[in-house]
Amino acid sequence: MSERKQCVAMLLAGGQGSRLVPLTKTTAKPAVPFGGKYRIIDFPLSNCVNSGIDTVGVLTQYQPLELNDYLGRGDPWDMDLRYGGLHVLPPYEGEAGADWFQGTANAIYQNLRFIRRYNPQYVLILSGDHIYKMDYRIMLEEHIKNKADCTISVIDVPLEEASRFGIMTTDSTGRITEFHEKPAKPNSTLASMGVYIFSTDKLIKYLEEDEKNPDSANDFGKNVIPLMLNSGERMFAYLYGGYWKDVGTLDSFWAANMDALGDLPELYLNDPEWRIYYRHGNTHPEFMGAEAKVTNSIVGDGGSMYGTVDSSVIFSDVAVEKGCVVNDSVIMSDCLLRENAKVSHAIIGENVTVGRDTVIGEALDAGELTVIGPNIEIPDGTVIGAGQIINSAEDLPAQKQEGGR
Amino acid sequence: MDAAGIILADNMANLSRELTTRRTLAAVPFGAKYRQIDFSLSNMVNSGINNVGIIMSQHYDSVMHHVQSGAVWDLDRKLAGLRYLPPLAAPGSSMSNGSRTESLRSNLIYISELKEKYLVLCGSGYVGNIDFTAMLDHHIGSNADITCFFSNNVANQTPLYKRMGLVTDSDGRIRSFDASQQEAMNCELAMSTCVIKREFLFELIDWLESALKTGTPQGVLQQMFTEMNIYAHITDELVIYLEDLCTYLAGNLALLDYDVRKQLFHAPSGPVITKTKDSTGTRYSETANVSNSLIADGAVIEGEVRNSVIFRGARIKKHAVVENCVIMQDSTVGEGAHLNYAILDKEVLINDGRMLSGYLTHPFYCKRNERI
Repeated sequence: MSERKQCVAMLLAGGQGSRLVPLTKTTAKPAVPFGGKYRIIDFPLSNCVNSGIDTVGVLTQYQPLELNDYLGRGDPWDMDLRYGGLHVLPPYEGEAGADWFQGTANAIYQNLRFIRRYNPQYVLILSGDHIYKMDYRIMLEEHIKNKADCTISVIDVPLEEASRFGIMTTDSTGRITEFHEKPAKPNSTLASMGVYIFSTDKLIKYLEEDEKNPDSANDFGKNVIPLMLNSGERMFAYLYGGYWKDVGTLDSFWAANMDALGDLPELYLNDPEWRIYYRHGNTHPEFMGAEAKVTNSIVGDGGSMYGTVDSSVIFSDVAVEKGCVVNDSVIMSDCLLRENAKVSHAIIGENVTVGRDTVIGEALDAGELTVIGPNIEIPDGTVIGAGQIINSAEDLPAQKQEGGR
Repeated sequence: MDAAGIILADNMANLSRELTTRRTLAAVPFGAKYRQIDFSLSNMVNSGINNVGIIMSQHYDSVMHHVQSGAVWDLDRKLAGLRYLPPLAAPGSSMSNGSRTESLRSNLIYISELKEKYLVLCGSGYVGNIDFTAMLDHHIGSNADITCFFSNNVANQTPLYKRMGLVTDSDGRIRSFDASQQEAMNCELAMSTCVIKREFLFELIDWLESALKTGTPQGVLQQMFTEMNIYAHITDELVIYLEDLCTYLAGNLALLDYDVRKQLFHAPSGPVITKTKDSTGTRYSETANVSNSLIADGAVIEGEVRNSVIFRGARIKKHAVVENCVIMQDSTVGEGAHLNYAILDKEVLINDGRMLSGYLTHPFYCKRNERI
């Protein structure tokens, strides 16, 4: 087949997500569950399908088993195609030896053969750790209209947060004049979203040049973008006005889940015009018991609910027994909350059993976020205070010995 | 398993027409996110049958649209898999007759080309989580000509074999039935789900066609019980009949019982598999108040829901009260509306403040796309 693809997407999904531990203890960040039904990577992948991009290379590296299983042949995103579609691209051994992906740019460099196969005019670079709904077609149209070599999607952030991002300054036409990766004293509030469109020939040219520099960290933000800018290439910022959140930390991950709640949520997941696709399990419908009270929440299916839940995101196959009270929390799949457990302002990873009368976290206004890693059994009556991060059963507070039981 | 499956996606078991004016019984939505055929297909696949034909009658577009390639049941195979068997497959067969004998005859070419020794025929008048391997073992063990499936454990009706007054030997061989019972009228209904040696089916069809030319259905059924080795395989596997609106409502509401859900969704034979819709989680607003109900994903609940089954994408607005109801996919109950014992088919709109009420024996039914 010689059909040419106009735009191919490369999704950087190898990140370890060290700031999301314990959620990323055994899985790559893009495979972390989100929003009751989804995983983080469903957002960029669904954005691709909804934007008419059907060819995506997913670059994996850290803990890829669960992610690979999840991606499969790409069928949930309609990307199980004979020509194009979803391809998982792990590091590999070549003639010159085997290399892990050194940086984001190196990961793409090592897979230029994949890009060349489809001979696209444009390459869209995405990362697997952002929650947003975005039509890449509009950005691509801008890129073409500007005759740009590279277009970087940006959002306007508060000045005090700007030093966490790649910050750029533009002229009146939107052309980028300066770019600083995580500047100490930002002089602009236009922050890179980690979404880039490159004209393919320029991408190849600068990736090859960057590879030749032994001092380079082979990173787009640190090396390739400054190199292109210094060489006088046409680089434009595309200002995106919709919802976007970097879920790289436990707090921002929790906050993004909360953003999906409410009657007019910031992150609207029920939009039939911009569906987020995901791989399903065979879960039956959720049962709401006679004493259940669920308000301002999103609940997956397959579980049974006998307790009180407010302002929370509950995933599939979660059982909440009688007398439980859950507030402002994210509870992932296959958890069991035994009778009278109390969970406030917390994230509970997959397959956790919370014992009877256990108390996890403190009220939202009282303290910090509490996080329980996946696959932990918490004994009856445990008290886990605000701000605690439980990686494994060893981190649990010592049990008080009660007499007579 | 040395058996191929044939799903009889017809309306034989359907005694009232409301739910099937625009769809076949196999496509009737059930249990908040399923259609009837999901149960038949899952039972087949969970029993190790991976060659499945679907014999269709009228309105089969809904079945085809739902099942598609069968990929969700892993039936999109190279060497076996799913086969649609629409009517008029053979010259000379007529749609107007529409009997099961007729539809099986139209598909004799397909059936003759199968390699499996046995056929599992599966009707569409019920849902259940059934292990067909046990039925096949019984069939082989008793050297029967036909082994029919009956359940002792029906959530919403008297079991059919009781209503028919079947008389069996201690080993399960059927000897006679009570011809005075109305349910005994239709011998095809009795044979809804059965296992039969594939070679014997050809004989049986010829025999039935000539017998039915002269005999009454009851007479032919009695003759079959006398002349052939027909066995009843009576199990305790949970079954819910979908015979008419009343059994449909009662059958859905039966799912609110923990034991019924456990037997249907968590049976050892395997899960019930259905097509996915990429719905988001169920959304409960500040004003939601839900108790003792089964709620599918993608539903939006702002009002009160009690003792009801709510399908995907349904919306219950503020101050609405929905009790003892089945609300199908994408239907909306307006603000302040009160519904009791109602069945809303798909995409129904109940405007604000409407009061609708039926009873268990007389459910209030709104057909698809209706506006009230």
